Amino acid sequence: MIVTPADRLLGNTSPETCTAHESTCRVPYDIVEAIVAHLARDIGALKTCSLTCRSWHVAAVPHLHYTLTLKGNRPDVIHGKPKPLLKLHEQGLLHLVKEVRVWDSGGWFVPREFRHSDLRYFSALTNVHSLELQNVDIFRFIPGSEHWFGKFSPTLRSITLSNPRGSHRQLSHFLSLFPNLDDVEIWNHCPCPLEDTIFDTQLVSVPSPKLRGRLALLNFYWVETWTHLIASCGLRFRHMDLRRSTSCASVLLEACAETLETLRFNATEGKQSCLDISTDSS
Amino acid sequence: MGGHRVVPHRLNLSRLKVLRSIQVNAWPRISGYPEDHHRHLIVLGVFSTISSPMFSELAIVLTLRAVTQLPRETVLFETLGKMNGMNPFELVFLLDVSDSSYGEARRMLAVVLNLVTAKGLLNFLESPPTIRWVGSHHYGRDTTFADYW
Repeated sequence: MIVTPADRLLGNTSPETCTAHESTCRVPYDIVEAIVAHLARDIGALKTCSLTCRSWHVAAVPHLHYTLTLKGNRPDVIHGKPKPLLKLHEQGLLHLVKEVRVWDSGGWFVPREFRHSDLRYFSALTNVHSLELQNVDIFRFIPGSEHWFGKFSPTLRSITLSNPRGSHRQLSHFLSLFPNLDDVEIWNHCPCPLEDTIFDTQLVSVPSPKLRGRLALLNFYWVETWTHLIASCGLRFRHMDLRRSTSCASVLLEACAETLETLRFNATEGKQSCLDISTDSS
Repeated sequence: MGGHRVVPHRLNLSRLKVLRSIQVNAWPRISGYPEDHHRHLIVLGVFSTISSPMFSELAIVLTLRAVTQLPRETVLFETLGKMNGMNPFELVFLLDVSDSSYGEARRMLAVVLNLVTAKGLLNFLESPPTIRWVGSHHYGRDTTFADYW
């Protein structure tokens, strides 16, 4: 039976006949979830799915808001309010955000840029599993980093720091804020001015992070960061990726001797350059 | 390690009790990049310190350019043979390429491995090498080179 648009309008259709839209909305919810999960990286497709019907909307929305990225020189930060964050807050969607990326190329991600009252937006991010901070000046959040990042503590499992600025003591203190932290990735640390280390002796590293997942270091030379964490909580990494960071290798390998399963390193490094005395041991 | 030259290195793996796998970046030489004549010896030196009874896998991380250099890397395969004699392992090639390049890289690597196999450079292996992808969202998705062997 051919059903014309006019028949549909007049209701002249058999009970079994339904539109493509109706058919789509009759798909069992677990199937909808599986379909939407396959589209998790395609924001355009997710948006289309979310407009299909209520069940598809419910399935797509968590994926749509999984990652919150604040990037650029000033990512719509006007009078201390990062607009994407504000928008999600107004729509009551902040609890869906599981991954936060702050790519700061303009030096805006510092406490003085935000009004104290706007801390509540960060405070509403209560379900973040992964945090990526690019070019963050850790020393500017000290003392008081707990106020900014403490809300992430119960849920945060993974942290990536690209070009973090701070002392080795500030860095280990920052990592120790997150008791359930498993994975750590640090690229290119940068020291901070000496005058910004005056609070370092007062920093207390509690609670202890778990640190039992993956450690990836690129151009990282501060052994002291790890010796401090080893002394305060121990390391239990299972996977390690050390690139141009071999000065930390012996301390890290010793600390994870009981747990390390996979090690990745560069074939072109690791050599003790000043002891380059190839010997025949035959 | 009788007969092998030793380059002092900073990676001593002798205390690692449950080490299962090592993954080596930048091992095949890429033309146009500064040559490091010690890279085979460094890897050999690091490998010789492994004492974990659970060790079973050696992975070579490859970029698309590095794949094309493999057939010329006879020293690399000689070194692999020596290492396998010291402590047998399963050989894995980890393709560190983007999602879009993976198909091309995998096909190219399959061709290259056929060439290398024809030369007998992988005769020391008990089982065919595995190709694995280390794209950021697909880590751990394996395909066995046996499919292309």
